Formats: sequence, structure tokens, C-alpha cells
Amino acid sequence: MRSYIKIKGRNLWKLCMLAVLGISLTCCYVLVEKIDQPTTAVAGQTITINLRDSVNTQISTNQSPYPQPSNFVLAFLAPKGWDVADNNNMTVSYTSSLGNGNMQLMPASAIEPNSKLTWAKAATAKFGIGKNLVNDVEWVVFQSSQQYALTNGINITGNIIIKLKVGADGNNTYYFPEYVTCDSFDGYSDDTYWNNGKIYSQDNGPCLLQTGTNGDLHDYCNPQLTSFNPPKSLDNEFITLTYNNKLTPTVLSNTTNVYLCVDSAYLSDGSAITNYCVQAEKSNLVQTTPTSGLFNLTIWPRSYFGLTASQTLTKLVYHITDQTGTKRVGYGGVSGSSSPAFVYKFGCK
Amino acid sequence: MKKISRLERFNLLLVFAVALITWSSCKTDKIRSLSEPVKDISGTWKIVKATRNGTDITTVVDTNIYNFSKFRLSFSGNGYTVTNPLPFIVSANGTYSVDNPQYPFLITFTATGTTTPVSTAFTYPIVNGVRVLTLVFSPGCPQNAYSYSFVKVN
Repeated sequence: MRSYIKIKGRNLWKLCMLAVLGISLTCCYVLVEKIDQPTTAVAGQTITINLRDSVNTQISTNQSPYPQPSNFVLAFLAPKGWDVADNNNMTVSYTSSLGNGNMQLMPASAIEPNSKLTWAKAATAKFGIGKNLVNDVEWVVFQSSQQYALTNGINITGNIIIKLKVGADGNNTYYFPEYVTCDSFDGYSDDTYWNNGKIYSQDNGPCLLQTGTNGDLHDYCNPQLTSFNPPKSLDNEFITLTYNNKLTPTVLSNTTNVYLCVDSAYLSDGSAITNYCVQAEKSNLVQTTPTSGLFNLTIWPRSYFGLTASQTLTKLVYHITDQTGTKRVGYGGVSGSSSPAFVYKFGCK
Repeated sequence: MKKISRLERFNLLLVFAVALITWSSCKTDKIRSLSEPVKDISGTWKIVKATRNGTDITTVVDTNIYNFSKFRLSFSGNGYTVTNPLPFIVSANGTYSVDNPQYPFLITFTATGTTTPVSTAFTYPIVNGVRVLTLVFSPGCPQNAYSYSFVKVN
């Protein structure tokens, strides 16, 4: 079939460039220039976090719609136990060269434009759990109440002010806050036009230590010798114990055959189940890959300890041992018969 | 007055006859509406996939100690039974119901000895020609979601 479309080479090149620029120049480059965030807090305290932002717009005037309708967006990574979204423990406001205002929770049904997922799910898919080592954190997304009509070539400067009440779950927590800022039109969009390949800003704050409760310390900043997944659970679930045999030198460093030794499994009536410090198939941790040094064991506690319908577990007190049971590692990597035990408490908060 | 010839009379009768046959051959066809069949989940089901908080744990958990492959969920009448139990939405046998037999979105289990029914959304698609029943539930903490996908045991 004969084509009647005739484009000379030079014109084709121009056409392609226009198409590329049309695609590339439809974004707002967001940059967080400074994070003012405390590194310590006490449970119940409301801390203030300040993000100094700048936004540069590069928007094609041929784009539709133009000007580009946009809300400022902040995605914040917080411990699940702090109930940031549900209990109104966090408020966000902003000052900017375009105007001042408040941010509100992103509607649960709102869709992030690139992933077609909800904004929180999109943040989880793209940014995971940030620098944290334990998956007990969640993304909570806010957007400005005010929508702005952004035009090409403007520079917006501003501050996002976060008021955050910490420690709602009654535990002590050590975790990495993380902040993602963008505009609602572009979302978490990667774009090779920009030097860093993205037009949103993703930033870590320093590790934040929240104390002031009688609860346990949940440390998500530092690697742990042992950890459980899920980090919070009840006895009627599968829980996976991970032992990190490469974290620090211990008496088990040269061993690839390690076992869970439960000294005591405590019940809700205060009594304890013992005789579960055994080296058997059911207590054998399996290395994830031949040289990883990470050993896993998944158990169903109700079955593992043979509980009756009326019994409920409250905590496990345990060591990690070799096959003979004579080499024992406890909290802090300390070995010996009197080494302090690891403790895992059952609970959802 | 012109007399009608025999041929003309014959033609007239022929036209009438054809018209009568044509008219009598017309009838109104009643279109029967197709009703959605009732979703029958009766039978015995086995787990083919299990996830915990979105992570596949099928092979992680399926060991000599805990067996996804041996777990069975059977529906019969309005009752269900669980064989080789694992963490599940219910811990004992009992009765079940669905919210709509034709378009079920919710299944409710009531374990024997309890008065509190537990409901969960379920999906019932056909995957590669096989009906797959998927239940999502939290046997422990509400923030920990488990998903078991079942196929019928032949």
C-alpha cells in the first residue's frame, strides 16, 4: 500500500524531539533541601518535624490540562503501632510561596497516577519499608487541601510542618522515619529527563528513638541477632524466627546447624511450659542460602506447644543452640548457661 | 359488471392462502432469561497457595511438621469440616453460609460450640479451567492477613 505521508529526515528528527520534550517537560521536580527532625522523643509527646522544600515546574504548555492542577503530597513512613492514620495522631500544614494551608489524609480510594494503586499501596510497592529492618511500619499519605494550577517555569519554596504524637502503642520504638514529597498530578513518577531520574523527593530522617513506656523496645534501625516475622502476632499464626549468625561473633559462628531452645513458654495464667529446649527437626532453623548466615524456622505456636483451646501464650523465652544443646547463644550474643535469654511477646500492639 | 374469471378467482384464492399461511407462521418467540447458576462449593478442597501479608509461604510452611498439602476443607449441606488443621479462620468444624447463592461475596463460618459467626470475603474465579476458592482472613492479629487458595480434590 502506498503511503502518502512524507516526512523528510530533518523534520522527522524535529518531530521526535518535540514528542520527547512533550513527554519529559510535564513534571514538577520536588526537592527536600533540609529535614529538621528530633532524634529522641517520649511516648505521648507531640514532636515537630520540618521539611524545607522547593518545587521547580517544567510543564509543557501543550499539555492538557494546562495549567496543571496539583495538590502537594506527603507520604510519611511511621510505625504501625503509632496509629498515625486512624487516631489523628499526626497533623500536617505547610507554608509556601504559593500560599499556606493544611494537609489532610489522602482519600482511601484515591489512585496514584503511575502505579494505578492507592497512594499508600503505591508507596509500599515503590519505597518498601525505607531503611528499616523490620516490616512493622506503614505509609500514610497526606495531600494539601488546596489545589494549585501550576504553570511552567515557576519555583516554589516552602516548608512542610509535621506534628506527630509518638508512642500510641505503649512500646518503645527505634525506627527510621522516611518522607516522600511530590505533586498529585505526577505522583511517584520516575523520569530520566531529570538528573536523578525521578521527580519526587524521597528522604530519610535520622533514626528516631522513642522511649518513656514500660513496653518492649522495638528496634528497627539496628540488625538483631533474632527477629520474628510478623513482628507482632498471636499464638494462632505462623511466626518465622530468623537468627542472624553473621551479625556478631558467637560460639555458634562456625555452626550451620542451629536450633530453637525455648526455656519457657508463658501462658496467660502466669504458668510456664518447659521442656521445649530440644534439638529436633521441629526446632531446627534452616539457612536461607548456603552462605547467607540467616537461619529461619516457621512455627505455629498453638501446635508447637500443644496448647488446649483455653490456653493462650503470652511470651517465649528462648536461646539458640547447636545440635548438642551445649553451645547456647542468648541476648547480645552472650553464650553460656547463664546468658540472658531472648524474649518474644505475643500481642498485636 | 365484469364477471371474475375462473383464473382470476384462482389467483385471488392463492393470494389469500399464501397470506393466511404467512400470517399463521408468525408467532412471538419468548426469550427465556438465563439465570445465574447457584455457586456450588460442596465437596473437599485442598490448599494450592498460601500467603502471609502478601508473601508466599506455601513452601516455607509445608514441611513434615505443618502440611498445607494435607489440610482439607470440606463443605456438605450447610456444614463444613476441617481436616489436619492449620491456622485458619475457624478452629473447629461447624456450619457455613454464603450471603448470596448465585453471587456470593461473603462466607460465614460458625464453629460448633461458639455463638459468634466469623465472616470473610471470598473469591471464586475459574483459573486455567479450574475453580479456585480463595479465602482471606486473620487467625491472630487483625493486621496480619493470610490468604489460602483452594482447588477441589478430585
